[in-house]
Amino acid sequence: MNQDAVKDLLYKIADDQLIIGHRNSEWTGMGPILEEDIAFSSMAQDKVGHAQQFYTILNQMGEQDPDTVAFMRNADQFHCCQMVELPNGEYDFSLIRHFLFDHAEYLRFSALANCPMESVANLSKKIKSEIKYHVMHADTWIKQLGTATEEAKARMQNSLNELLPYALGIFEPSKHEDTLISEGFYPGEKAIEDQWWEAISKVIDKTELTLPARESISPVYGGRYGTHTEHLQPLVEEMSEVFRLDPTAEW
Amino acid sequence: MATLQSLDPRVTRLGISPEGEQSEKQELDQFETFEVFLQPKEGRPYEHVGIVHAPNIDLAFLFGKEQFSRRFTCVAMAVAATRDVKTTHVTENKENVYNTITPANGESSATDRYEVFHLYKRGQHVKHQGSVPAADYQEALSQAKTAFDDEQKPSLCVWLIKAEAMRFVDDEDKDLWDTLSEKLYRDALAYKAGDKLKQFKESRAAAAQA
Repeated sequence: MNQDAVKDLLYKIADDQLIIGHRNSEWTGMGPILEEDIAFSSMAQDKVGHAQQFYTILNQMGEQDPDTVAFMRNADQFHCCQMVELPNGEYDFSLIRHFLFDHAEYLRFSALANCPMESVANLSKKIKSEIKYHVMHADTWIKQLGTATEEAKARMQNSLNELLPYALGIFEPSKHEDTLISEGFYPGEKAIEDQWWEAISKVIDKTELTLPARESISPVYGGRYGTHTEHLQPLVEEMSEVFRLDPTAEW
Repeated sequence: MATLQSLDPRVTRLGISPEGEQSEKQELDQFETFEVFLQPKEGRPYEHVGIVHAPNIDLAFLFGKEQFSRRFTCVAMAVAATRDVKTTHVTENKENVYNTITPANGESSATDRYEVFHLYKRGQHVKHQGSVPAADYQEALSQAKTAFDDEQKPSLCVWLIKAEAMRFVDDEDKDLWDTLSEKLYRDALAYKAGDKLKQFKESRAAAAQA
């Protein structure tokens, strides 16, 4: 198995989970209602946990330890797509991002549950059951707000239009697509993107929201190889503030 | 005007005026409530665990999961709108609530079913017993007496919920709780904060003596 190709794939998965987990955790204590605050925070915590477990596998493959990897890199060393680093905005924006992202993650982990590397396959199977709830949560909100008041629908539609180019950036082809596909490790970003489009279309079709034609959206690429928005570096600094102050701190 | 500065950078970013702005209280600021039931283990009955506010039963289900099964193990969940739950009074002196209820006059011909819950001790949760066929809540109570009354184990209160108003988790979604037992980090106990605090106090006391 091509180690560089596998590491490249695991880094982007882990970095996506860490950064969106951190962004979503910024809602803790500020969610629209108590119950939703708790649910959204729990899912954010799940995502940071997923990142840690992927960094642990990377560590077993010779990379640095999970805390160092998570907290000591600068923004340009991250492999996350740009969508996950965008500021939270209003709650509609965070919900649409959650919807677009988690459908992709569910498909990604469903595919990796059958990959030939046992540690990755087992972890993906486990994570899949958690992401299943995340997707249920997202779908239920999209259906609720996508059929609610004019304001709700307009907000959701605007956020959807704004986020779709970034969402397509989740599927930025990697340098190792052909290797991962030919070695049977991963079906490739194009295949996942096709399944994803179908999955989100099914949900959007049950609402009064409209999914623009796919050809009309220009994907925002770059995140996978270090090109990020100006929002990532401040996030990384805030997230790692305690660790950088005292790397031996325990909590 | 200067805005509120907090140690929490998120609060600082909100740009809150420290003077305190005033606005009209909104009229509708609560959703209706839903009752949440968890099944702690396979083969054990569902137990009532509490309520959530939600705009509908689907969201109540989502909220119930994180509100009540964030930490402790369970295998399944069900929710019902509070307005669909009918309860008897709670008896005094451990008296069996069924003593005051007329038993059913034979089997019911109704096609609707009602879920029945018992309270065995004040302060505990009501526990699921099963369901009975009935045309309405009143008949359901009589049918429940026939089906579930046990003099050896008196129930202090009965809850009835029309079966179609209850949403149980689908069998294929029971894997939602598969990883729950591993999430020790969601429990304050896992952080041993008490031990750390004790150590800190002891080290401070030792330093003060020295």
